[in-house]
Formats: sequence, C-alpha cells, structure tokens
Amino acid sequence: MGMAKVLVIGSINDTGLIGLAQKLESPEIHYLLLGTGGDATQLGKYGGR
Amino acid sequence: MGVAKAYILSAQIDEASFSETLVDLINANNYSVIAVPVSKFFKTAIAITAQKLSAPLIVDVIDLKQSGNVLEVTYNGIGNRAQVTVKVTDRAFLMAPPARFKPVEKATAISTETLQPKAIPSIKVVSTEEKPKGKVRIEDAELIVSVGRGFKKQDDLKLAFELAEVLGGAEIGCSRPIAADLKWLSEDHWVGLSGHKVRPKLYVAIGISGQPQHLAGMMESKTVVVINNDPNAPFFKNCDYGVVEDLYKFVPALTKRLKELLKK
Repeated sequence: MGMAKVLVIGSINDTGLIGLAQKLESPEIHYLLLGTGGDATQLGKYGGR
Repeated sequence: MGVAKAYILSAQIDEASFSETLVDLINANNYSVIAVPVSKFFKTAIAITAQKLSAPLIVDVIDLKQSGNVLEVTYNGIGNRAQVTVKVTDRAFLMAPPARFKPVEKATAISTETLQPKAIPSIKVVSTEEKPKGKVRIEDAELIVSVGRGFKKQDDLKLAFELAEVLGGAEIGCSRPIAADLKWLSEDHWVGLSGHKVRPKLYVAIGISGQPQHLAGMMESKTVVVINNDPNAPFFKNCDYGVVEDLYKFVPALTKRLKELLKK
C-alpha cells in the first residue's frame, strides 16, 4: 500500500473522518465535498498532519 | 500530508448515480482507502460501489493503523459486542461516524475541482421531493427516553413524553416493535442494530426487554436507567440503574418528583 491515497467523503460541517485518514502513514487525502453549503477551500486547514 | 485536494459534488443525486460517479473518481485516482460517514444514503450507495469494485466495506470503524502495506482496521463488530481488528492489504471502504475522530489542523492551500454527477442512461429521475421529517435527530441527543412494548397502547406513550419534557427536552427513542411493527412512532426514533445508534449521556429505557439488537444501538450510552416490571428482563444486566416496577405506576411518580425537584 505504501503511501495511502485516501478519499474522504463528507460535508463541510462533518469533517471528522479526515482525522481517521490522518492515522495513516503520510496519507495523501482528497475530500469529496457533498452539498451546496460551505467553501471547499476551508478544508485547507487540514492540509498537514 | 493532509487534505491536498477537494472535489465538490453539489448536485442532489440518487444512490445509483452517486455510486457511478464515485467509481469513476476512485478508478481515476486509484484511492486505496475511502472513508465514508454513516447515513442511510451511504449505506446503500457505498454498498453498491464496494460491490462494483470488489472491495470490502468495513462499518463502524473505531481505529486505523498502517504498517507498511498492511492496514489494521478495528471496528465494532458482532452486534457491537466486540472490537474486531482485521488486516487489509488492498482497497477498502471504511464507514464511521465523523464525530468519532478529530482531524489535526495545519493550514495549507488546496486545489478544488467541481465534479459532474454521472447519469445512468437506464435510470431517469422523475422527481425528487424532500421526505417530511420531524425535528428528531436522535443520534445527536444527549438525553433519551426510550419506549418499548411495555406500553399497552399508543396513547400511553404520553407518559414517556412528559418525562422527556421534565428532563429538559429529552428525545424519544423506541425499540423495534414500536417503530417497525406497531408504527406508533416514526423510524426516526428507532434505536437498535437496524435503527439508529445513539450515545447519549442518559438513556432511560421504559418497558424495553433489552434484546441484543436493541442493546447494539445504545451500548455506548454513558448512564443507562431501565424501568421494567419483569425482573428477568435482559436489560437489567446491561444498565447502571434498574427499577423493577410497573411503568404505569413508576413513570408518572418519577415525572412528578422530578418536576418538584427541578422547581426548587
């Protein structure tokens, strides 16, 4: 598996699963943001570990 | 590394179309782990997607570790009676309540891309109407008064509603027969393996025997109070406080006493 490439699915207000993905070794995380509410760039606050 | 990119899917689509869209996204990016929140929509959509990709779907995940090419996934299994750890060496879907985890914050700029939903030619959505729903979101409730077959008729549930009100607006939960068989309450209230999983600070179970399927939905409650006239009810082995008494006598008395205490 090496560096895990992870897709996290959720809304802008329910981002907790990023925490699950961050348990992996140096994961590259992509987020599938569902719904019309919220600004996707806000997810940048989880850009690092 | 953290979040590097966000895809935005704002269209409201059905489970089958979502699955088609997701399969393309997963294949294009070769994701090895797909983390999904718990909801009725995802239970269907992700089951379809996992089946299409021949990948395992592990639900109620509580922990995740990586050792080289192997993932160790721990989840609540066997009707929430055990924590099961499995080793995964290939792509997997992991489902869990987002509130269970807290992401580490470290800001970076990320790129975004809008996704267009993939339509399925053989299926055409004719109309979409929001399902009428009450205010109940029992999964988030901190106080729950839950009712079971100990109540003899639907009108008697007012005893539980009165207690819930005195407790400061507790939500009303119920066991399977009340929602699925008798339909005295909507499925929004159903607590159990096939209903909703709850983890309130206080769970008051009235007239519920405590079958494993019900316990699976509320075992993470902090304090559990059981009121039942059957001293052999299995629920008494899974509670913090047990009251062996006729609910029709005890619940109004409890409500009255609480009202008096809370007035002071």
